[in-house]
Amino acid sequence: MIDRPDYLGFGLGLRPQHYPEILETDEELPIDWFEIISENYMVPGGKPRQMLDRIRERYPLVMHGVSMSIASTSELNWKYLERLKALADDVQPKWISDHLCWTGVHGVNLHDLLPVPYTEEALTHISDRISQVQDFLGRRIAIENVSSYIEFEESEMSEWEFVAELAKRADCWLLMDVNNVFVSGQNHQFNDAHFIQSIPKERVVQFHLAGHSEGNDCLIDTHDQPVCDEVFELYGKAIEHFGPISTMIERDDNIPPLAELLEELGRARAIAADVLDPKMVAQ
Amino acid sequence: MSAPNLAALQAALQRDIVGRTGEALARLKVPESASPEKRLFVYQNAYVQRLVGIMMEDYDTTWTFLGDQMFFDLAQEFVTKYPSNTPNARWFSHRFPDFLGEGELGRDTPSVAEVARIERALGDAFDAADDPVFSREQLGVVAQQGLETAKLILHPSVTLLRLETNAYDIFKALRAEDMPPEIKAESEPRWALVWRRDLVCRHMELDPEQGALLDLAGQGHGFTALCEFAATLGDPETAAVRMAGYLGQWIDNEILTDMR
Repeated sequence: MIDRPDYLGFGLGLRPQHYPEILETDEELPIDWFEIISENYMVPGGKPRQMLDRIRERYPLVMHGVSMSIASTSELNWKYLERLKALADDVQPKWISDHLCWTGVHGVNLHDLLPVPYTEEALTHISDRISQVQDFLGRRIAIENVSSYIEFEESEMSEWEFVAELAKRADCWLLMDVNNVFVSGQNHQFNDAHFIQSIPKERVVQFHLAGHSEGNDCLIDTHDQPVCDEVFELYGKAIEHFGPISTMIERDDNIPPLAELLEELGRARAIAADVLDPKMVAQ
Repeated sequence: MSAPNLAALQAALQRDIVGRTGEALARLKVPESASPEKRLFVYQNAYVQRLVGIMMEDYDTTWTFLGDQMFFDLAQEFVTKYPSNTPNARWFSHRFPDFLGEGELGRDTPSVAEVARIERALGDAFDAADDPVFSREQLGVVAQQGLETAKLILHPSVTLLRLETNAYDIFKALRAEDMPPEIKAESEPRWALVWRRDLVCRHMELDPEQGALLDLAGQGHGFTALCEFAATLGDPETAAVRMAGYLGQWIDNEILTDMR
């Protein structure tokens, strides 16, 4: 049995555009927690760190990174990991997450979340690196499935088999991005509900909900739109399968007023309330 | 190499994303109804658009100054020449002003690189370290111990820019959405100070004497040396008084973190 972190309820990705609304209101906002983009706060000082200090006095935080490049075949970036650990020491997040992807090799960072082939070789390589990171940070991390537009001929198993086995071998947690499951399901023509049902329940600590856009030839994970009906529907299935999992809306571009995101979060809360003990979703 | 096949795949795909070499295409798997070229293009296009988009935000006044096409061409050339090697995209374009100062553009229109340097300084001030600010009360203590050898320590958010053109006038006009003045080279250098106070990034022009003195202070010269230099710039009789005045302004503007 794995000792999972506490259920946090319903949260949002913290974005600078919302600092004033979060900090200057007298009302109690229907937000249980925030997720921060780790790299945005790995800076010496100034407004980002001061705002963060004020917000973490009032809300639980989790840290979510985009540059660990856990699947890269280049050496782990220990300098980056030292800075990540220092931030975690300051912020005391409930957990730390990053993506099942690589962002570059040979010293280059493409600032994209690039997919991996689902092979035994990749499994061994990535699980070993997750173990190294967890040993260094002194805690389990959560790994998120990414949206992808390509797969590889050399893959030997499905993405969900790969993710499930990776979590087991690395003894890590999983962050399930429901939108990413949907986008990749559409792009690669797999059954998204089957993906979700194939993931071990005891490993998942967080859900992401986000929006996507229609590209020329596939769906693109842009995070610049509201969460669509199909993703909310899939979220309902995920809640049915996994039970109460800390859930948040992730919006990175075309960022609306906080009230709009709270409406979306309310919809997630309502979907969860239909499935779970009402006390688990009350605000 | 612990994962040679994975390493080869990643190297090939990276070259294809950055340089559109086509070498990864044969290894891609997409549904029958889809095109591997179009799917790969999502990553190729995102790479350029994402990084150029960040530069448009970080150098938006330079972008306005150059116009859309020229900025986009230069930004794309920069991305090709200097691929990002930093975990935080915030830092990847830090050398863009230096890039703009190179070659024909730098020779013919140095004001472009200078406007970009002002913007870079504002970005640096935004999240510079939160060192304490030096107060007049602390100055009193230092004065009692003897000012002569005390060195001024600038706040980490401070950048002092020595400008050879009227770039600061151009920068201010563009920020105010006014018509910028004609580009011109200055006969004497001009000084622009960029720093952060109360979490707000600020900028102002310093007169030539104050700029030169703050520049020396930043290089670690002590108070007495600054007074001696002030004596060479203006009336020697009033040099110490002028220097004391500047010191007061610097303290009030919170650009010093210590004197020791």
